[in-house]
Amino acid sequence: MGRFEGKVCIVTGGASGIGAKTAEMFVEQGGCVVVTDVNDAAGEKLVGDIGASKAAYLHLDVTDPDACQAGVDLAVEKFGSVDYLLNSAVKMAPGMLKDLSLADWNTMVNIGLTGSFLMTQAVGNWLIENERPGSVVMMSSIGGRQPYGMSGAYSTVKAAVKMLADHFGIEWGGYNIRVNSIVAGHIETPLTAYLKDPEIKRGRSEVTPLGRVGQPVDIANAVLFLFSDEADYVTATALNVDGGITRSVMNHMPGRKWS
Amino acid sequence: MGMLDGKKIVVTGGASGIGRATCVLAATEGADVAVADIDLERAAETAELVRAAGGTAITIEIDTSKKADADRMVAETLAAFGTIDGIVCGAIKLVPGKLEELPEEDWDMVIDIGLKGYFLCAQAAGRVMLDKGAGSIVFLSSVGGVQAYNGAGAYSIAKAGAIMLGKLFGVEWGGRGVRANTVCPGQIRTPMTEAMFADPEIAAGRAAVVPMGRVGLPEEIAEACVFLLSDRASYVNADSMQVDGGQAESKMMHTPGRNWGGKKMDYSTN
Repeated sequence: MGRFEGKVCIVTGGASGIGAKTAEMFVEQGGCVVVTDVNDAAGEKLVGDIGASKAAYLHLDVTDPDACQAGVDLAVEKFGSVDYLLNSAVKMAPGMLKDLSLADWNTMVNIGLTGSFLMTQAVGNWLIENERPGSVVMMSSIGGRQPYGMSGAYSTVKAAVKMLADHFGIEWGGYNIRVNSIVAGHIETPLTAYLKDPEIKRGRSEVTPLGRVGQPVDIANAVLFLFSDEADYVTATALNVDGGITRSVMNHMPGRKWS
Repeated sequence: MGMLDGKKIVVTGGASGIGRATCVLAATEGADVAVADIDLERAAETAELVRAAGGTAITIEIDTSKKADADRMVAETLAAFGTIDGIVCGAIKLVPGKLEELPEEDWDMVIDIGLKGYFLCAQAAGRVMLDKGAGSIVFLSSVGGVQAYNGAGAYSIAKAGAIMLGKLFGVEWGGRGVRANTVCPGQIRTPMTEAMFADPEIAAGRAAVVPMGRVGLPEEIAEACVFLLSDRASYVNADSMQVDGGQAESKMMHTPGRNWGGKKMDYSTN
């Protein structure tokens, strides 16, 4: 029997990458999942592969509060409850801040930050009204710890997402709803298609103390830990799952001949 | 009118580098300075520079890892100046090495001078400032206290500890008029780092990894120390200030394939 038997999880941005891997593994470990995304073809295929008895797909724009509520409603209607939420929906709109358009700024902030707020609020309010414990995980990034030049609003959003998780965590501790974030390093997903370039992949592996880029399973394992009862006393914190990259600035200093 | 007019300041590690620059700038801003160091000869040179800048100077020989020395440093400063208004703790000894090979005595030397020494000197000088209900403590940490500096032996550990020690003094003593803060310099060209920067290729490489594109000067760190010593920083307490040209936050500069605009990239999740 899996550790998530009888549990229900919603994953935003669940059609691919880290979200999809988390959805698959959550079901493998006994739970049921509502996969939400705006990429309907990939989302429906994923749910078909997992199996309709354990998974459902919903087209969900996280910037729309009614749509977020519909996600909660579907989980409750089809699977009886919602216990966990992974906010992984994001849309990249890279660019230099100097020239970044308001539209690109709004895209990142609305989906990555406001969307995480709205979806967490919808799930949390259901949990509070039904007096149930729960766990929410937000996807932050090494770009939220270290400014990621040329990434548009990405670093700003990911730093704010970490604080949003901390903030929900302290407001909802008394409801036994835990909220945490994961600081993901370079992970090979459809969002990071540039890692298909072997030269870029090798370079990014080299700047990571563990010597490799991460895979979605590396992050999914951490998400499921934070969902699970094993993390019962963990809230309002950020877990780095980045191969050590965030703390390795000094690796890039030449000439460390000390004497 | 100077920022530190009439103030009596102690600087450990004042014989050279950032410590020396801090002594001189403090004097320029009106302070009298006790130059404390294990190297009395170079401390005397600093004292001359302090006098040239218009301040009164004394020199004190100190091994900061010894409590008796810290207590004597305070006694000698009080004998010369009558009081203490601020202390800058900067004395450190570099004993590099990989952790897997680091001998116990190398660990102890760095921790004893660079961490325990900060505690002993700040405690001894701080008691004087607590008695009068006013004063400022400044610790010199490093970018290596924020980012793990591999190959540097216990250096990063001592420097990270210094940041927390500064916060702890600030929290324990802030309510009694004594502020405590930490400055985290980046790469600064000093006698301690001269061995590295003497090689022009290394110097260029080290400048290139700083977002501002250059290494810093001791005088630029001294400015931060003097600000924190001064009454202009009267509400700054238990903080740590990075003066590193942005280096501690620059990891993503080293991520290859980041030419977002130039290279075709497919963000196909949504």
